[in-house]
Amino acid sequence: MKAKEMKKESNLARLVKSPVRFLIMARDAYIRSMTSCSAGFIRGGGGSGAFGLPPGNFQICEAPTTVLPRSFTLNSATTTRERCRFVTRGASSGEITVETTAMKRQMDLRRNYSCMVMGRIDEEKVCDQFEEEDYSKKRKIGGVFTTHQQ
Amino acid sequence: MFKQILGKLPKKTSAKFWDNGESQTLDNNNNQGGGDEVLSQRTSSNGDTSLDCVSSFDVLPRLRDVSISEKQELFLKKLRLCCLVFDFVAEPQQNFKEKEIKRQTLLEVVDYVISSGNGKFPESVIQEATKMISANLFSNPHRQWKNKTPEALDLEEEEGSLNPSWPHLQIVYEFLLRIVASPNTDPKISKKYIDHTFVLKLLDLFDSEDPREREYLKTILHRIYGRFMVHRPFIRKTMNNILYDFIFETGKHSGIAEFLEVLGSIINGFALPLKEEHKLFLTRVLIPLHKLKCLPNYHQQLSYCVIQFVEKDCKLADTVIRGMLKYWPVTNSAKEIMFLNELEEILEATQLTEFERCMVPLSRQIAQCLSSSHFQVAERALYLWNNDHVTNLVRQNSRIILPIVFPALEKNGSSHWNQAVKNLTENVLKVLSDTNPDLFEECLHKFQEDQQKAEDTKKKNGETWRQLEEIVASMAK
Repeated sequence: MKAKEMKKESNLARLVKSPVRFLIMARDAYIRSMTSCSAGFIRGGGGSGAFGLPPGNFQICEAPTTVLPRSFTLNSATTTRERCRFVTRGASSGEITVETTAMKRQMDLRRNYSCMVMGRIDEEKVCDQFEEEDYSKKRKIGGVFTTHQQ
Repeated sequence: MFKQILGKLPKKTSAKFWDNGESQTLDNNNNQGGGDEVLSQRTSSNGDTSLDCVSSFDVLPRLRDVSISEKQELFLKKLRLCCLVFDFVAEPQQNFKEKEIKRQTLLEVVDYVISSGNGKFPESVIQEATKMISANLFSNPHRQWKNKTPEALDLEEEEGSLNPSWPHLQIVYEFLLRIVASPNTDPKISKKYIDHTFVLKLLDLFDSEDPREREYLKTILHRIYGRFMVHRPFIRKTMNNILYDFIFETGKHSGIAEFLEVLGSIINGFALPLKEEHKLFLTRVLIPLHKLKCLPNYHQQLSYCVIQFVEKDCKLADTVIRGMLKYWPVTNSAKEIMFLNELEEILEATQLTEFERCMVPLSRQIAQCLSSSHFQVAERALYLWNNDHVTNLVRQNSRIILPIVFPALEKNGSSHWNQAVKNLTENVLKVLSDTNPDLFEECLHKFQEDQQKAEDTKKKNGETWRQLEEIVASMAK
């Protein structure tokens, strides 16, 4: 009699708790999927394929249209900029390598955030020479000639 | 490339001439029928074509076949022929033969402009050329297509509607571009025909939804601005008016990105020190452009223009940053990330003096971004510490900045939902701790004290509520 009552109570408790357990599993799955969007670089230490994933923080921004410097007049040391400064001290060499590569890749992407730049027009001079070579290369006319006979 | 395309012309042109000759010899009725079609077409269009053009539509020889002395006169005749505008919208299936003839004639006149030698174009050529361009670009069939576009078109759609008249329009645009850029074009003569009215109508075309058309317009405007100095103030003023209309009135315009690209090259060439007119343009046009919802369509070009200003006059950094803080997006995370991207580039061009003037409200905004629930916003804000110049500016003012951003960083490190943001935050905190350990400890203690005070206040409030409830209970008895 006691054994039956205990078994019955256990089943009942399990039934009552199952919705809560399902909700917890759903929450964990959601957070895991969101984390995988942005943490591909940092947590994917073992696999080299993880580096191919696009960084999460650029999914909304448009892809850069062209590889051009962000500014032509600002001179900053690229070697200093490219050095990754988020590497934690005391970490293992494997982790350092992973984070360095990841950060460098992300920085490269952000540095290319720029737009197409047209030829400079001096404010006080007439400008009538604008990269004739590029000019002639870019222009295309006509394509396929089609003659319609009636 | 263009030569290769023209290489295909002689074969088909000669074939066409042979066909025309055959048809004329065989059947006179057929020829008259063709004439009727052209006449009816002329009636429906609004071109100011004379009857002579229609009668000579099929029989003009090629420019290459005539002598040099007759070339110019034939060129002018061909220009007049091209003034006839065909309707690709209402009558897309009619006049195939005439449309093809016009297209090849346009190609011929473009080639003539390209291959002409050292002689300057006489005034009659510029006059006829401008008339032909106006007839084709500013004609009613062009606007008919524009009016038919559905109003509900998504503004953020990258692909616009394509102009059905493009087979002819492209070559007309190419012709205009070649005329403007040609060394044989004398600006003193041309400015009488490429005048304010012409430029105004050209700027109105920027609202076209065809990206190919806007690309040509952008290049043409760039060349006109570069070459005709007398038109520069008018062009800047008109562009300002169009941008004002976009910012404060309609919020709809297809060509803002193209305008900003041209403006980028203009700002790049501004002389130093900057004129007051140009600074007003920055504060009244470029900075308010940040507030519109369709910012993603033109943000790259806009940020390039703004950064050019800051690089030319570093004193403007404070004005720009305060302007951005004024228009900082609250719920639009995509815009917020764009703002952070632009902010980093501006800070790279900012000097210490200007940074100190705006760093307090800026740090508060950065702290808010760090606390954002959107992990991409928080992550992008954290990456500001990955920039050497920004880190240097922060370090030199850490006594003021760190107390502002520290609470956000500490909360992120302990309780943000995203693991990547947590990791980045811990890294940033380590960097800050290594840089200035005493100030870091001081901020940590203050943060802990503030938290303790908050908890004490919460307890005290709880006690007060409980006392009130007891009083109410006792009064009820």
